[in-house]
Amino acid sequence: MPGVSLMSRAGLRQASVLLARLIVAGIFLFAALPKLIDVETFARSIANYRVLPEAWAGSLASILPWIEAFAALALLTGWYLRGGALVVSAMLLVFIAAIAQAMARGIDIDCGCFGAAAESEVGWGSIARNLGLLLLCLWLLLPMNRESWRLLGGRTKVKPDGSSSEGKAR
Amino acid sequence: MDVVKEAVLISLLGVVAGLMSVALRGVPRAEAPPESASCAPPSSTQGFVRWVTVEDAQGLLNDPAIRFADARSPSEYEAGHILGALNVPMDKDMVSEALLERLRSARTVITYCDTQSGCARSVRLTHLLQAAGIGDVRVLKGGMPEWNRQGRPAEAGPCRECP
Repeated sequence: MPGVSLMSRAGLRQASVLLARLIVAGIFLFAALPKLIDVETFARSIANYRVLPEAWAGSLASILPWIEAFAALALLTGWYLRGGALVVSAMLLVFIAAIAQAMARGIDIDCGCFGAAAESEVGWGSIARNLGLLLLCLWLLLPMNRESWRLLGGRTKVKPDGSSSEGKAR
Repeated sequence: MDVVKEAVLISLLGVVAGLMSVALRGVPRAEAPPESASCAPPSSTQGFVRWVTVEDAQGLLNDPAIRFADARSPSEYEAGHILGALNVPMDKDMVSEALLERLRSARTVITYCDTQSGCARSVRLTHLLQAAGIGDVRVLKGGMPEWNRQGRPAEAGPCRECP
């Protein structure tokens, strides 16, 4: 029956959006927390890439994990969901570029992806992981996935002009 | 709210929180390690450097198309080197034509050094070989110390195949 098929497709899409949110939010929160706790280790990781002056690495290490955390919370709660996905996408592009240039220059370092919590060397594995997360974020940014559940407060609702607004749970 | 505005707001929240963290804890120090501490090339290194692990390199030990090139001094080489490696010391910052001829016949050349003496030697050798037209040159990650630490095949004595 066509009606049932459409409902199933919509339901599957909603489920995939929720899953993407949880995966990306979970990984970014797991990545942000150790960096917030041990800022110095993360600052050294940034310096190891030898892209920025060392004086900037400390400041960036203090700010970047907070942006990661807020973006992850946006994905988790569903509030400003697409903004969070956009922030995470931009960060992932920067991370991929940083890892790729380290590989090209033969710099053998820990990627600093998870701060002091876990070791992860720069390499194709870390690039592949970030590309996978980027694809999930792009999925969240697709116009057809504008609607999604929010934690505490219903779901976003698409206006006729295509922008989002608050909506009550049905 | 427009998605870009949402993204800007989230980023601003992060920046404000980060600045507050700096105000409370100060800016963390970020001293990069000395350039020769981990066998990583100096940032001024030009050219593409590929690395190979000890595990992968040992798998290539019996491949006649693979040559190992020891960038250390002759005395360090004679004290112990990878089985079958040629000694190409970097004290004169050049590679003789005779040694180049031996290395050109290889499909892949793996260079290595001793990290305690500064791994710039194996990376420098890599670039000299690449400039001489040898396409596939790689640096052994961890050098001779890692090779020995893992108990991989080694021998002592002078270089038998060196011209």
